[in-house]
Amino acid sequence: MDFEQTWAILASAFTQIHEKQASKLSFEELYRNAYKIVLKKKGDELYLRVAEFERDWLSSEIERRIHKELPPQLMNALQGRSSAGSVGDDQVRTQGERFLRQLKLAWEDHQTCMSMLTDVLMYMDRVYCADTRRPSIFTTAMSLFRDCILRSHVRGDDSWPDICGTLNHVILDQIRMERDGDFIDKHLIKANVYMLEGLYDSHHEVEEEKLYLTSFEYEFLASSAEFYRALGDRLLKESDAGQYCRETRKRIDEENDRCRSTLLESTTPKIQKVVEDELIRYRMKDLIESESGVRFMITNERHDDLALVFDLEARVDPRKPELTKALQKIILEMGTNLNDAAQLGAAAEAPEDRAKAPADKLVNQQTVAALKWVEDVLELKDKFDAMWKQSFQSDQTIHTAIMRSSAEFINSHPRCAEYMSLFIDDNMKKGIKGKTELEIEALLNKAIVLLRYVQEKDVFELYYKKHLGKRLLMGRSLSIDVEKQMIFRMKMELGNNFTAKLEGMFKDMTLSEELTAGYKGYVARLGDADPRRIDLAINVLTSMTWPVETTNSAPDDARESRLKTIYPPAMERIRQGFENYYKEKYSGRMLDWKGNMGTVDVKVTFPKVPSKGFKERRHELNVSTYAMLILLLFNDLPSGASLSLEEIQARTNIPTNELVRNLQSLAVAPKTRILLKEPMSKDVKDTDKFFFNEGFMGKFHKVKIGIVSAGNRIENDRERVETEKKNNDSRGYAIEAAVVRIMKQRKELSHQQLVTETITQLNSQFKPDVNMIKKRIESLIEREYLERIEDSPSSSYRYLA
Amino acid sequence: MAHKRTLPSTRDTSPTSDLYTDVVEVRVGKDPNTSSSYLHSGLVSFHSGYFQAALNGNFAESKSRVIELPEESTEVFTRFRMWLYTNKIDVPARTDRSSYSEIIALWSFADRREIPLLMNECINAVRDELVRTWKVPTKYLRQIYDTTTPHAGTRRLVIQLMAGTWDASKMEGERERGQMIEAALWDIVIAVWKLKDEKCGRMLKADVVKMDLCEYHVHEEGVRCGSQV
Repeated sequence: MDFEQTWAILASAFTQIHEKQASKLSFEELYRNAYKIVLKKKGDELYLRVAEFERDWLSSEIERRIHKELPPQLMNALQGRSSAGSVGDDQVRTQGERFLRQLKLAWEDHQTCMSMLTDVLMYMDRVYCADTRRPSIFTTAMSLFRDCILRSHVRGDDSWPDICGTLNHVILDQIRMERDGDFIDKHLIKANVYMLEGLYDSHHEVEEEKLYLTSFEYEFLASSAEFYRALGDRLLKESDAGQYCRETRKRIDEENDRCRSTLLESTTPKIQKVVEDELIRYRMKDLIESESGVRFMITNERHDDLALVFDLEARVDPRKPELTKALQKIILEMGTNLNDAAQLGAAAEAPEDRAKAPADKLVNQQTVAALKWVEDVLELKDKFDAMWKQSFQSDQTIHTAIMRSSAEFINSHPRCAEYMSLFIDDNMKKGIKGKTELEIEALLNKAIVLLRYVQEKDVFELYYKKHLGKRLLMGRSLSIDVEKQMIFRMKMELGNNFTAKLEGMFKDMTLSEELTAGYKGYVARLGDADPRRIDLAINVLTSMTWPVETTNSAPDDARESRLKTIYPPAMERIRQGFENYYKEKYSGRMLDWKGNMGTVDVKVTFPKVPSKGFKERRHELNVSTYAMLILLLFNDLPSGASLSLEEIQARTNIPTNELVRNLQSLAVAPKTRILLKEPMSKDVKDTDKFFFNEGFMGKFHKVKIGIVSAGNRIENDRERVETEKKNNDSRGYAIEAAVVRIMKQRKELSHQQLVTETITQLNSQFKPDVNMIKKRIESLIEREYLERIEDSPSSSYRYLA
Repeated sequence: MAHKRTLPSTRDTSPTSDLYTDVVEVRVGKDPNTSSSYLHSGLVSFHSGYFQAALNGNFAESKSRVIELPEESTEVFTRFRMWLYTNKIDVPARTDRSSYSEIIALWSFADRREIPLLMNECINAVRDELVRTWKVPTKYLRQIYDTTTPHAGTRRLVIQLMAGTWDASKMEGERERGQMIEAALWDIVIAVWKLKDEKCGRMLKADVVKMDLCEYHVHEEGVRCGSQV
């Protein structure tokens, strides 16, 4: 076999293949010749000859065809162009397309031909290339295409970019046209992209060396970043935030489509990131804070736009920092406005003057303002809840943010716990009237949700106990069932500890009903059915369970508390009777009678007053127990005689503050003036004289004489100081208990750790003050529960068993 | 190249029935002594890279559906056709002499026409023939070296068998008979060195039977014989 002769046969066939005249060639003949060359150990030479053949063909024939499509004006246009269009756009575009078409054709031809050559040279690839570890001839030929065509310079001029660079320019130019709204030949670009995808930057055929990545993609991303940066600038200036979001969404989708139809899908995440960076990540803050940004959207209920903002930021950061920040800021502002509005009412508080009706009115106004605050908070919450569902896909991060800022502004209101308890109180007394079960359920839920925000749960408990106590004792609750549901919910939310005392109150009420009925039966069995006997209804309250002001009348003067109220004999008999009955049932218990808490129905006969033409009138008065005691004094008094305040006090032992309050109701309130006072003034003084008002005229048979400020309403300053003091005391105990609990378990602990653990333990009840903890620890050391560890580097304590 | 399917190198994948539809004419031998065979184009493409290219490429054969193989011998081609349809390598089992020559010619055909499974089964047949005759095919060294390239399985197997079963006296005998060729000698020396003393010349029939022939087979990456039993 003669190599040159055999090669000549092959070479001429290869020429025919490149000239597309191969259909007559016999595959067997060519294959056999190549086989023989390899078998005769001339594989090496054959390989080199083929490569040389291809190099010649590419750099003469093909290069000429490609370069022809790159006239100087096109090259100039591609180089000199900024991103703005130019006059010759159409021409450049047509020329660009012709170049793309020619390059695509050359590439496809090259592949077809090389595929045929590879068939012919199959044995060389399989045996020679494998044995000598050479790349296949196809691979080599592809690299040749890269070197001879893509790396060639038009007319050999190095000052222009090579064909590969020119290709980038043309493609990027076309993409720019498409971004500006033109139609382009996507398939044509895609074919060229496939070429770049099929070629490698060097002879290492590894993924990251693909020309598409090394040559094109980088430039594409860089020019895209530039484009979108400019677009972002323009949009922020010219459009409102909603439009901006919509445009961004559209652009992202477009780039997606472009990758699919024109470029490669592997670019999708990268260009997405570029668009996201330029239009979202770097702009989100400006966008959200812009005039038409999130605040505007919230104020104007632009739910769809908010959803877009959310969607956009969620794309770039699952934590959505900017949106979250903005929302928190806005909620806090709106909440602070509510707080300020509520405080404005409180600021108008008159100097302490409890005897005057206007002061009372003011308190009522403040109570209304307190309720309004809660309603407003609920409304604000509902607004953001709805937004959260509608616009923010019920996202967890957003939820947390809304919760946090809500809690922040709610707790920044110093009276939030009191207001919330008042809100529930109002609903229990009035709000739930005529509401369906579902509506009540929703209301209870709202109350619980609000409660969740309140940090000082202990303060809330204090108020709730107080309000609940009054509701129960005065029978003001519309539904005990609903009351119990509320307690049940609190139990679910805050645990047994929180509701134990509240539940105890209900238990006392039930037990008291049973006691009253039992006592009635007991009296009936005694036989002497005295028709004039006084009916007795009793509430026995466990002293630690009920709020202190209920079980302790808090006299101004400690001396007074030791004085026993003097009951008239008829009443004293019943009192004793019940006490005996009770002691039989529960031996060893002390009953303490609360004259300030009870009410009595009294039948009163007012005599004829001829001067005014009044006949004899009978009225049934509903008065407090103390008022009853006062009125009874006048029974024994001759008509026209009077009693001074001091006299009344001496004969009843009613504590001064209660006495004053009751006398106000009886002698000052215009509609229930059973007594007359001299002098006629609103204040009650020690020296005032009181007369029975024989000329009292009531519109109804039954007259209810309320005690001034008996209902649940907002506390005044003095009461609040007391509540705070009480609360601080109970906090002190809670802290001590927690410290002892922790130290008992841990034996030794550093100060820092002890404080941290104490705070953690008490967090569900309130946020303990660090100074208070310090003081409690000091006190525990004094009482020898703990001792300081002397030689410890940081201050530490030891538990003393 | 793009149309090339993976060719089977073991019996783990067998041809499916849809391969037995179209036929292609194969003319073997030089004019006027050609003989025509009709093979199922699917089946022959299933096994042979060469036939795949010939029938699917852009050359004359893909249109004419006639493949002329003027330089192949009818005998070898007939044996290939037999193997193609019966899965058997049909060589005469003579007692007076071995059938190495026929097997080697068939391997060479399979190598030329890229039929990995047939190449592998020829390798197995060489080993079986050795077990049957217990005679290393020294006589056919020239034939082997003329029709194969350095990494060919047949070459390496035969050299290995020589190194494994021969000893110095046998080698001297061969020198006198003058059948050694120079290229083979180099290969034997290298093989002997690689075998080390304990194995050299000590291979018994049982060892030959147990040999892992995948070393001499053609397999795609990761495939071995019997891996899918």
